[in-house]
Amino acid sequence: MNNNEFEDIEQLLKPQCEFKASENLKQEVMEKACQEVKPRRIVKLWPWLAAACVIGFVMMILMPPKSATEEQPLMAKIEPKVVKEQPAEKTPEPISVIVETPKQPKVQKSRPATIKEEQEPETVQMSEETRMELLLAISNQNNEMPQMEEINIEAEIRQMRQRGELMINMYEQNDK
Amino acid sequence: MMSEETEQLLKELERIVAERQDWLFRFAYMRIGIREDAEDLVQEVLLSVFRRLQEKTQTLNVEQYLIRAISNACIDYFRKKSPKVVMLDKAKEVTMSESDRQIHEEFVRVKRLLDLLPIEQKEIVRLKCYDDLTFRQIAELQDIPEATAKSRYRYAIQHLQQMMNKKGDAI
Repeated sequence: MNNNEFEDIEQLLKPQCEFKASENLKQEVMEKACQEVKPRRIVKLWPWLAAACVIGFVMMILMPPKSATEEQPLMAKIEPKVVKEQPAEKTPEPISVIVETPKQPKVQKSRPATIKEEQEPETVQMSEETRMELLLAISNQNNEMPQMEEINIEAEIRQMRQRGELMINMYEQNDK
Repeated sequence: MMSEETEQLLKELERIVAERQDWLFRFAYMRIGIREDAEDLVQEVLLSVFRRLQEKTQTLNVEQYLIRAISNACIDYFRKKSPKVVMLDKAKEVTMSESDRQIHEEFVRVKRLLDLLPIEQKEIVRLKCYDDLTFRQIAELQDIPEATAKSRYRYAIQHLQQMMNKKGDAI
């Protein structure tokens, strides 16, 4: 093979036309390069993500289980209500206590003895407790009866008055 | 706000793009045969050059880097999309634009010529004749001795001459 033939083949293999890249290739390259150079604003997402995870975890722990919240009202319906018939409260009947005002033994010599109109006994409504105390006092009084003969009548009257006052006081206290 | 240094880098890139984009496009197109894909490769290569310039780790031989980068990019392209490009008839169908017909015919012409050669000679002929590289550059790129590159080129041309003579006799 001589040199001319060699050069002919070489010439044949050389480019026969012009190769041009697109006009916007340069522009695109420069734009991308500028984007790479620009400082990027870094938004830190991980603290928010972590906070969201913690909140979710806490909610899972604190919230009641779903099954429990659904069954509770059903349980309330199914459970038979045991209604105990309570006896109707008896309203304590008003206790009528006849308090006799002690007669004062006044001897009226000038006047003939006249029968005084009996004073209307005071009716007092008392509680059960007061009633018991009263009964106790009466029983004590009955027990003391044999001795009464020996006791001075004035002392007895005084005692009776004191008891009467005591009872009135108690009644007032109950009212309050 | 861009620093002066960055502005200088961008100017440098602009210069490289203006000088070398057509050469890079021809290099890629003569191997791929599709304008869009060839331009994508060129863009990648130019941006990789810009990144290297930013790093400034070592003094960069831009010319050498460009040749190696575009060559590797083409090899990677064929690894990923080989069936689309290997077939010559299909390459014709892929080309859509009328304006690209001329360069595509050139691509087909050279490809047909080089298809007659063994693979190791084919690339050396392409690098020497079409890409205007020196034997030294070819040797560096192919990782072979310069003498080997020269001898392979000579064998390739002789082989082509013989094949063409055979065709001429047959006609």
